[in-house]
Formats: sequence, C-alpha cells, structure tokens
Amino acid sequence: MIRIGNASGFYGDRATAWQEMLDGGHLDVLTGDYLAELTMLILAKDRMKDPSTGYAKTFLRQLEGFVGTALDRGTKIVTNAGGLNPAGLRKAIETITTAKVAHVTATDAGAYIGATGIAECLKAGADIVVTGRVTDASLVVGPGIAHFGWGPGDLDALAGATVAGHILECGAQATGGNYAFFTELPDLDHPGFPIAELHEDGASVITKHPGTGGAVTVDTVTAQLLYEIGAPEYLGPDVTSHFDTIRLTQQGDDRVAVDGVKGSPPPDTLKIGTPALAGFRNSMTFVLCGLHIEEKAALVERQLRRKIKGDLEFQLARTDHPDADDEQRASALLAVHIKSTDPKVAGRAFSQAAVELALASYPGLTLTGPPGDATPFGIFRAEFVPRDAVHQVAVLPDGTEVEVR
Amino acid sequence: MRMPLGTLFGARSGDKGGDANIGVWARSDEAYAWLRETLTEDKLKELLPEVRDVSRHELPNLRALNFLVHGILGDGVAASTRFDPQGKALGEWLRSRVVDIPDELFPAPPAAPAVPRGAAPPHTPRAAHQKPIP
Repeated sequence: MIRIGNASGFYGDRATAWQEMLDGGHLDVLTGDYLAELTMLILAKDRMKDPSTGYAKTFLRQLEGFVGTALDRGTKIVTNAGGLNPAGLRKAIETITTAKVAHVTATDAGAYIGATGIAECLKAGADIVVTGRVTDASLVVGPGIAHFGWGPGDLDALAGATVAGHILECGAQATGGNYAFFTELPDLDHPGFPIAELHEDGASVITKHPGTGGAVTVDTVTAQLLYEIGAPEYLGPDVTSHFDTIRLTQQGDDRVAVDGVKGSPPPDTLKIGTPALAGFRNSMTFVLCGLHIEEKAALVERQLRRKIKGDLEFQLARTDHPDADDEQRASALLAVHIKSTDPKVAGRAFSQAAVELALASYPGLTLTGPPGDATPFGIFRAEFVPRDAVHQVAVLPDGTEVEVR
Repeated sequence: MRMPLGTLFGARSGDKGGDANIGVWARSDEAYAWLRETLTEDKLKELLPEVRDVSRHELPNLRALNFLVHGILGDGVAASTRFDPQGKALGEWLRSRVVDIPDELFPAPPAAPAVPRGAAPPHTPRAAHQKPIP
C-alpha cells in the first residue's frame, strides 16, 4: 500500500497546504494539481510576455518552503505545475534545491498525456517530478505504476487508481468543501486535504490527516466523483474507467473504501486542448434602485449603444424587492459586457462611456466599480489526435531522456 | 409535500468547456428510485429554464444521476459572460427549486422547511421568474 496525498486542486489553492500535508502524518507521495482550462490560457498569456515562464510560479515559491521537510520525510513530490513549460520549471527548481528533479514533456504542450512518464521518473529515483498537461488523475496513477509495476493490461488496477486520482484532484472538494450538506459537518472552517491509501489491485481508502477539519464520508466522496464528469465511461489516456462500477463503503471515521472499479482499454486518441486568444473583454455593472427598473435598464442600453460600436451584452439581474426596508434589497444589477478584437474599443472607450452617464441618465445611477481597461480572453478548443502523433519524453534526474507512450 | 429538492438530494456542478455537468445524488435507495423516475431531462429543463440541451446518465451504484448540459457556458469559462461562468452554482440552484416530494421519503419527523414562512422567494434569474412552477 502507498499513501498518496494531494495539496493543490488548482492554481491559487491554499498556499500552506503542502506544509500542512507533510506535517500532518506519513505520506509516500504528495501531489499538486495546478492546471485547468482557464489556467492554460493564463499560462499562455504569461509565456507570450516571457518565454522562460508558462508554469505555475506559486508552486516554486511554495516548494522553497517545504522541500526540506519533504526530503527529510522521504515524501516524493509529483505535480503538473510545469504547465506549458515543464523544462523551465525544472530548471528553476534546480536553482533552489539539490533534490533530484525530473520532468515529462510532450511535443504538443496541450496534449492530455497519461501516467507513464511520471512512473519512469519515479522509478529513476526522482524526488520531485514536474509535468505539463497530464490528466489530473495521472498524478496518482503514475506513483501507482512505479510502486506496483502495473502494465498497460492491468486495466482494473489502473481504473481504480484513476478513480482515486479523480477523488483527490480537487483537494478539499473531497473532504467537505463545496459540499451540498455542509450544514451537517461539525467543522468546515479549515478542511484537511485528501489522502488515498492505494492498494496493489487499484482499490483505495480515502482519508485525511487526523485532527483536520471537514470530513470524509460516502457523501463527500460521492459529490467529488460527480464533479466534471460526462458519460459513465470516463475516458483517459491510461485507461477507460467505468464509473458505474465504483463501490463506496464507510470503513470508519473519515475513511471511505473505494473498490470494484472496472477498466477497459483507453481510446486510441489523445485529447489536445488549444488555448487561443479570441479578443478583449470588459464589464461595468450599474446599480438600479427602486422604481422603474426595466425602464432604467432600457435607458442605459440606448445611451451606451449610441456611443459604443462593439459587441455589447446587457444582463439585468432582478435582485430588487418591492418596498424593501434596506437599500441593497431594493436594488437590481445591470451588468454590461463588451467583447471586441480591438483592445481600445473594449478598454477605456467603453468603461469611460459608462462613467459619463453618471449625471446624465436614470435617477440614482451608481456603479459597482471604477472604469477599467480591457482584458484579453481566450477560447479553449479541444481536438483529438492519434496517440502516436504526440511524442512524450521523460527527462530523468541525470538528464537521460526516455521516450514513453 | 412541497419542498426544495436539496432537503433530500445533494448536487455538484462544474464546467467542461462550453458544457456544464450537474451530478445529483440520493442518500437512500427509495429516494434514488423516486429521483430516477422524476428528474427526467424534461423535468430538469422545467426546473432550470436556462438549460436547453441536456443528456442524462444514470449511476445507480452511487445513487446518482449526471446531467450533461450542452452549450450553457458558450465558448467556455474564459469567454463566458454568464455570471456563473463555470457553472459552479447550477447544482445549488437546482437544489433550491421546490417540487412535490412523497412524504414517505422524509425521515420522521420531517426537517424544518428550508424556506421560512414569510421569507422572500429564492432568487432565480429572470427567465425562471417568467415561468413559475405551477
């Protein structure tokens, strides 16, 4: 059995979670997920400005604090914080620690690759493994392959580990965070992060460190299993996991057993997510209080459309209550959005036009914020390519390059 | 009795590109049987009028239904002007909708009503106001 914890569910998650997880009890491996569709767009923007970036910079700062503890306790670190530039992150890590670092790259940085590269790095003795866009669950599957020696034909074990990975990948969402029945939990002020005790057959027990907040119950785990899924056949690069075969059993306080998971071969294709710059956007929100809400909104719309030739969208939220005894409950919100390929049109030209209405529009005009500049936005497109079209390489601690599939 | 779905059922929602998913689960076999029978694709569209195109998957082992809501987030989280661009609260919106639930599904005595007498109706976007549940 190996104990695998997770300390990050997204780029921006609790900064102290790595240290908390290392201090809370024994772990063989500690993982951190930093990537989501939105994050890939943010990293692409970073890299346009500076080609040496494109990875999750916060991870580097966090690592400086906790790497000594991880090495002392023999806990391996596995993270996809490399984003669009795992080699760049590895280089940066090697300037702050003497730990053995390895990384995994792919010819297409947006390809959702699997766990094999991570396993190669761990088998070669890496203390820290940095990847780019691997599937979130592969951060758990990789250590499983390295420890138990699973091959591509061990489908049920790979599927079990994938399910454990899916439960862990969003951090506290498995331990009571974002949980429908949160009012039933005795303490959600500072939930612990999740741990999977992974067994050779792919079965696992989900738990958390003693004394931490939140809870691990069949319900909290069910909630996370339902997060961001589609059909019961959960497709991944390592295995197809059948979510309609998962069995959950409460084993004790904060311990849920996960077993019975069936796997079948993965698809012959890999998903590639391509972030593309689509244009520039901006928003201003008007507060409409009291009487004639619809008329007030219509006046703002006419006035702005006279001045602005961009793609405008008006969203009126009727948060107002009639005859309300406080001002906020008497008010509705009119959000105005603009999108344009021209940063000037979506920038001050738009937000200043909204401000100029201050003394010249409906009674009681007020805005929720000051005028701002446009921000670029992207569209994330997914396509599927044959598995062989993506060349994956594990770069071991000594620099040796191993091709993986 | 007329109660919010969330008194008996949990839900979690999130984004998948321009689509969102809403997973709904029951906490007893009886409640799951009722949920499976009642919360059809059409019923979901009635409760959440912003949902236009939806497909339902069953996960009886988890006593859960998973709804894949197509296209609700437009071009995806970064481009969406929806006020909940990642669909994170769709599940809580669904749980707040009031429906007829058989009395026998409630553990006795029934929980206190989630919407106190005299309180304002739960907020729903405009489209929902235009089409109240009979």
